[in-house]
Amino acid sequence: MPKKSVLLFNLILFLTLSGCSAPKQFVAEIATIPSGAMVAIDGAPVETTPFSHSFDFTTVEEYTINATREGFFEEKLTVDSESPSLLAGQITIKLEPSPLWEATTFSPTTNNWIQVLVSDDISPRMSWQIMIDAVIKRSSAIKALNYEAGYLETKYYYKKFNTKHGEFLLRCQLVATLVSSEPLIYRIKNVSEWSGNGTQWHPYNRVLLMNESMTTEIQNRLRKRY
Amino acid sequence: MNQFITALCTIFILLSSFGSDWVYSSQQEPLLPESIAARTEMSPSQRNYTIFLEEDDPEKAAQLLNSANDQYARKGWSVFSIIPYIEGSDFEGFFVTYQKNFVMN
Repeated sequence: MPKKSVLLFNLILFLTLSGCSAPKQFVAEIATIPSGAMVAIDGAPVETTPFSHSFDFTTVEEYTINATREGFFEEKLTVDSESPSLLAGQITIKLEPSPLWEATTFSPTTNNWIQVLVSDDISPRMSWQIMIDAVIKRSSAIKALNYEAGYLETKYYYKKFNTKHGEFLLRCQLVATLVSSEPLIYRIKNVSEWSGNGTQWHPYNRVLLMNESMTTEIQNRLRKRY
Repeated sequence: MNQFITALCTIFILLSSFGSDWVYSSQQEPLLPESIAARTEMSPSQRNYTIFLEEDDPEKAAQLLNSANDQYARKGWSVFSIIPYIEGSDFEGFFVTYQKNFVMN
């Protein structure tokens, strides 16, 4: 009888303890809104969303999930073995669109010089006029203009963005300089910078749409044969 | 002969531009505003100010809030967050955080 009692006690103890111990491994589907974001877990790139991932909490207490997608603000999420989303098997991260990205476009002239070889049948005076036309058509804010030196610089055009991550400033400026008069070659660059405090500026990898259309027009008209 | 020299010059100038592209691309990735690293860098420079508006009458509290917002907006501050303060089950007022706007010249 006592033996039976011990066995019964051990059985109850085993069932109780096994029921109490939290599971150490979880499989969850990681998704982002919108999908197609690159996910890094604890700094190591994993995959593009959506995908399933196994989290092992045997030796690790928590995982940090970073989701990045071009045109959206990067988001970070930390999960541990008690996170409701992990227990539900579905981790969804909502990405906020970046208004800076939406107001800008890719350009090879972004913080980078490109050279424009002027067509033979366009005179130096005419090419200079073409550049000024393309600029003042969109903005009259010219900072420096010198035909003899072959130098054109617009004032910075500022744009302010209010986002849930704070205020951002973006500024763009077009600079054109003469490289060679024989053959006639100009080089063009769009300086594009952003700031989070109005004092410290960082290069941005895209330019405002206005600057890109200005640059494209200059290139197309200088290269065009009449 | 002149044409040959001109052609050589053109090739040299165009090739030099590829060189600068290579130097540019080999530089470190720029800090983009969309990244968490940028937000981390920005946070200490954000100028925030939090006040407590004490008023247990919700109607009067709303008036007080509007008046405070107007007052701070005139000084270049915008509302960042408004959190009601409830003690027990009684409304006691608001915590309002303002953020300094950029001054653009």
